[in-house]
Amino acid sequence: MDILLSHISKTYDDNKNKRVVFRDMTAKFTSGLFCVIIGKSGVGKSSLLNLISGIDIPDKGIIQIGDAGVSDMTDTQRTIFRRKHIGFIYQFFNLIPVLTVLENVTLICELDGLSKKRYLDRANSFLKQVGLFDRRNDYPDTLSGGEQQRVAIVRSLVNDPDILLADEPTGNLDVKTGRAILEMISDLAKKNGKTLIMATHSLEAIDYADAVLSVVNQTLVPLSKEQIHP
Amino acid sequence: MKCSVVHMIITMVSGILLATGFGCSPPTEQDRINIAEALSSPAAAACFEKADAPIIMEFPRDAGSHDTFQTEWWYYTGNLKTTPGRHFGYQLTFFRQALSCEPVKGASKWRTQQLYFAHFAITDTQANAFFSDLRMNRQSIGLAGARGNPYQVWIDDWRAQQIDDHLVLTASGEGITLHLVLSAIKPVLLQGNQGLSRKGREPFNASYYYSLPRLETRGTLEIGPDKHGVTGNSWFDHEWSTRALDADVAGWDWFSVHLDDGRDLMVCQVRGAGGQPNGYAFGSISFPDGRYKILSADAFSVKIRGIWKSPTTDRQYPGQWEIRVPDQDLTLAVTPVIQNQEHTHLFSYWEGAARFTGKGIKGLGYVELTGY
Amino acid sequence: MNQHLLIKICFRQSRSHPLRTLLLIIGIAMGVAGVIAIDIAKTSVSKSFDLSTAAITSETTHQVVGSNFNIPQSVFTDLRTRLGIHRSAPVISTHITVMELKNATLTLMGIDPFSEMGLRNLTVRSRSGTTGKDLSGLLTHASGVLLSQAMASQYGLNQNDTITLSFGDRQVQTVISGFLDSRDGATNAIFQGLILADISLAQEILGMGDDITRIDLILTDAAMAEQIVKRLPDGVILVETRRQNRIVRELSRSFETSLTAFSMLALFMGIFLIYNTVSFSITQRRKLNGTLRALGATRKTLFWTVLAEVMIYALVGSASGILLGILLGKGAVHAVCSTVSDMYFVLTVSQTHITVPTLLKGFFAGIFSCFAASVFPAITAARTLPITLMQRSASESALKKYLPLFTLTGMVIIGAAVFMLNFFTRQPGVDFIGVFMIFFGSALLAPMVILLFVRGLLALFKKSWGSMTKMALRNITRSLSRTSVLIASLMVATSVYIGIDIMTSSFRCSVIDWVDSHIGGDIHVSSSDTLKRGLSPRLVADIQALPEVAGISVYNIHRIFSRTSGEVHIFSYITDLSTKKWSWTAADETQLTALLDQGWIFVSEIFAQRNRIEAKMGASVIIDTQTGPVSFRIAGIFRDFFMGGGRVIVNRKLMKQYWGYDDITSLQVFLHTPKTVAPVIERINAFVPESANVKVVSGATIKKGILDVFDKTFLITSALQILTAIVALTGILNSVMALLLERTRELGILRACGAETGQVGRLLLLECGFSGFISGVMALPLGGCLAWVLIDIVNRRSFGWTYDMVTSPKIFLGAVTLSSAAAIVAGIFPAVRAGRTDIGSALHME
Repeated sequence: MDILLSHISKTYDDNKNKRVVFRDMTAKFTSGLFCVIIGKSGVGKSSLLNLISGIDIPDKGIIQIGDAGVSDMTDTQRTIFRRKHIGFIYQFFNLIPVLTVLENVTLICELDGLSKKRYLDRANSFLKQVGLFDRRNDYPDTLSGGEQQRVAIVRSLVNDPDILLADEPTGNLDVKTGRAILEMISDLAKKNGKTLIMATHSLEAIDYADAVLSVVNQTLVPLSKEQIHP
Repeated sequence: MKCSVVHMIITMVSGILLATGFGCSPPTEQDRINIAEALSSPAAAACFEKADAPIIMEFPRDAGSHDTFQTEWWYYTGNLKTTPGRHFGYQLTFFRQALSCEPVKGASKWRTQQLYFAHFAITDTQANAFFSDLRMNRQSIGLAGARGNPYQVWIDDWRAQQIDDHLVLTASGEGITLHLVLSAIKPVLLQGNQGLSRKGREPFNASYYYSLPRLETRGTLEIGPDKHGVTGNSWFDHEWSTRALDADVAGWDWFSVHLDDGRDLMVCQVRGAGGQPNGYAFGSISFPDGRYKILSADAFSVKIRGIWKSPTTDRQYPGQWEIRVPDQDLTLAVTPVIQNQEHTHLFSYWEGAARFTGKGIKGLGYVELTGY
Repeated sequence: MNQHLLIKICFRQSRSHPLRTLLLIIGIAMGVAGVIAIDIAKTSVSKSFDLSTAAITSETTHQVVGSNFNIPQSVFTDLRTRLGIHRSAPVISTHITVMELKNATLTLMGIDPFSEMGLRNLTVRSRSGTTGKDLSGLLTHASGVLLSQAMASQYGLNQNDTITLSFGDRQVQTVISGFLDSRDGATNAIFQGLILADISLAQEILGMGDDITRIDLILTDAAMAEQIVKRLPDGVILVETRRQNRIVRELSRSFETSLTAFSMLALFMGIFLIYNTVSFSITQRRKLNGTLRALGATRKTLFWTVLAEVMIYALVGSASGILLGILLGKGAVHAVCSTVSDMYFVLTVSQTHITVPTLLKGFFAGIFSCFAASVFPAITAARTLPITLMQRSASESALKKYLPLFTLTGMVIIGAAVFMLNFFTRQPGVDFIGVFMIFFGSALLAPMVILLFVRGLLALFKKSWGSMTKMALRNITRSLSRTSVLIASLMVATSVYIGIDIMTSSFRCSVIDWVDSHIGGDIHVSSSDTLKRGLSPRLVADIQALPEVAGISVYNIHRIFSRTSGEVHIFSYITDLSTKKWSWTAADETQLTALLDQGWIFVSEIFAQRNRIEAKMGASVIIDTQTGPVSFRIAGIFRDFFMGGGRVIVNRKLMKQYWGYDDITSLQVFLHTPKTVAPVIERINAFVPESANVKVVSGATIKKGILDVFDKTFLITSALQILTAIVALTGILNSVMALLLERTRELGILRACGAETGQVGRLLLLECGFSGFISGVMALPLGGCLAWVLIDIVNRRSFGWTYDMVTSPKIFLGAVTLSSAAAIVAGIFPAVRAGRTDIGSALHME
């Protein structure tokens, strides 16, 4: 599914200050590609992901994913859309501490009311792929950061979404583990034909990306690799 | 001549009961009602009998109460001495006041028209002390009453009672007790016109009034823990009336004395609105053999020779007098045995023992001053 | 480090959660208000009692009373004229209601104004415009009465207006002759409960013949008292006024104590709540406190900072609690006074009496509770490690470490409480301390029980429950330090509910049973004429002859004076078809009638209790009779729910011999079939002559009347039950909101993952529901225990009632449902808010 952002404007009200994040921003993410969005913190990377996932809505403009006009949906419609079509990976892993690895992974499917049989096999298979099948009944806080992030990756993939959004997935990991995670995400996305959009300030991700974009002057600007590695 | 006292009390009591409930708060100046006010307060007296014509008094019947008249009293005063000669004065008075002349309605035996009250006082001359107490009760269920045969007047356990040929007085108040036996040594003295004693302008401004001028007295007085055996003489007045005084009367001064030559004198003058004698005065003198003579207003004079101011009530009373009865060749200087013999219960008046001295004659008697 | 700055930081933190701060303050305020309201009610009962009874007799040292509440007036004449006791006053006194004063109950006091002069020191002032001649009317023929000026103006009554006095079925018209008015406020308060009449009028109105109610005396020496006793005729007794008033006052003491205990319960709930809130905010500030520690704040500083903040809330909460308490107190005064009037003694003056000590008591209770509740959290705050050394969920692991200790302590406390309740129930208050200890112990046990409970549930339903349900359950154990407080408070509230519910329903059951068997009868016939109480024998025969009638209980009831309990009802039966429940009998139940015929007597439990009768063979009691004090042997003690001084049953012969009554005052008619009640009542009414005041009512009506009185008695208890529930709910709401804040991130993840608002809300409600359910289940044994204490110890002691504890699964089911529902209701608001979680910011929280 292609992601189309046309003429997006978004302003945040931080108490008294208005912060314009996007102004008449238009962008397109082609299905199946891995896009990296780089930029300084606070520039709007996370906001972009929130807009795409329907967690947030633009003040102006249209967001279209495949045939669906996300920006026109109600909150519930967006939530259900997100549940079915979008997987999320976060910097702080964001696992639910009171659920086991397997339960964390299958939570979304459960929320979606899918039959257990269908998603359980998938979940287990993914856990095997990331090498955590043996730990499926452990609680997240017994896992290392890298392991937790692997669980999060599995969680984001288990309901077979079309789009994978990752927000600083390596931000909280050491370099070595980060690289492994990065590799895993891009690998799994490619293998499963997912559109992957990753917000990061880690330049390492660029090596895996099909395209690199940056938020400049309240809009999204494509960069060539040369521009990044001068 | 003590009727106004009765009125006064009644007014007080009515005021207390009706307007304010009941109470025995120490009286303040404000609470005390002037005698004149009390006397002029119109009672529903229309249906009471009035003392407006002479009657023939019969004893012992007339010693009892006359309930169809509004006001009545039995008055005992006397001067007593212990064997060593220590002097005491005493006063025991019973008053009756009819609250209504309408017949009683209602089944309760508490219902009554008659209210009784009594004053009991002892003057201890040597100690310069005056004691007095008060009783008040309705004539219900035997709490108080008066009857002629056998003679008895009582409130609670204060009583004057005929036992055989004697009169027995008993009373016990706050720190004082009295138990006396009285024997009349002179017959009944009918005051005024055969007992009808005029006191004002209207024909009914009068009372029926008789006295026993001299009663030989012996018995005991108790003051605190001390008990004294005493002997002496007493004076008894019994008087009943309905509105005996004019509306504009301020009060009166009443004197009685047992002279040591065996004569007994009583004089009384009524004072008008200005506090000055208004011309209505009366008296009597009784002789050792029991015969007596009624004194008209012009047969005697009373002159004030001194003033006493009460430290309790700030009232000014006359403190000394000179009484002249020219007919009898009597000029008597009257001096209270002690100055403070003021009653300050619900209302204030002065009543106390006094020395009467003249040329070659002396006696002990009682003085009553009201309306000051 | 600057303490002011720290406090400022704290307040800024609190300001960001205004609702929780508000709830905390409300919780404190409610707890304080409960204590103050009940204390106001209690002091007001005392004050009203003084004004209604004691103040009227204030100066008098002794009273001469009759064994049947009447004495011949000749006794007074005798005291006056023979003994010369002039500080004595005859009194006729009875309670009447006045139609024109909205049927207020007042004391009609017949006095002799002249006797009063030497006795009662009621300083009153004269008002102008009243003349002396009115007095004569009072004594000779008028039906004039004196009424409090304040009352009169309140109801717009003027001089010479007519007022109607009602007693029994009689009504008497009287005229207002004047007003009682004093400069002194206290005296005026006394007047409010009085209608004053001359003794003659009172005697006529009440048809007392030559009798009066009593004589009030001021005696200065004991010798005089002895002299009086010697002269008093049989059946006339000299009693000390103060002692007698105290005995009457004591009647309702335990009832009031039990109310205090309930109000303390509300405060107890408050402590949980405060602890809960404070400890949460400490956890929330862990990072902040850690940072402050790293920057150099000492432990002491942090400790005092936390305490200072809480104390400021405590001040605000307690102050508002005082205001709220005064408001609630005014309502409580009415309820408590009316119960006391119904059950113990008539209060003609019901005055709200608010004293400074009461307010201080409430205030300090609030402050102290807050202090106690915040000490532990403050210590926790002080122990915060500098942020650089912090580990995750340190406090939760700390709790888990202490769990065995808590559990053990809880068990020890409960054990001690059980021991105390079993062996030291004599001292008043011990039972409630025991209950508090059990509550406290159970609260300490709560974390362990919750842990086991949740694990058990999870193990049982591992397969069938989804992750959301598991999440809800595991969340409970994850934040155990807070959920356990939440659950414990709800548990206490629920158990109070269960306890009171069991108590009242058991009590109702017993009362119904008692009414049915003891009072029984399909139709009651009694004289409603307080003056002529006897029914005509002809009427009895007529009723007996009716074909519908299966049988009649024929008896008389009279009031007699008791030195030990003020007023006792004495019964004697001609025929007795009622059945009694015996709590003790001297012989086999079938032998009892024979014993009664031999001159033994039956007494009610209350009478036995007030007279300290030991339930054993040879028990006897001395009762004042018209022929002087007589000792009676007791054949049995029966269960009875009449209040006052209790009841005594004697045979007809004794009744006649000792109290002079051989009339018939009441009948209970038993029918072959209850269907004919209405027509039979009609027929009985036809037998009664128009002029006679005979009351014919159905058994059902009587039953309803009795139950109404008892229901009213429990009104105040129920009000406290509600107060406790409100405090608990405030606490739950606060806790749930606190928990919600803690979960913001988690909820954000859920939302980001695709959970709908409803799903997130449901999760929260599920969590609340589980907490409620656990509380409910845990409350079952606790509630049962409370009920047992209430029934067996409190009620028996304070009311003299014993009754069987009746429990039903319905009560327990209801309680569990209630606590779950309460928790869910408390969760609704937070759940709605949870749905609105700002996902974006939630996710980036660390």
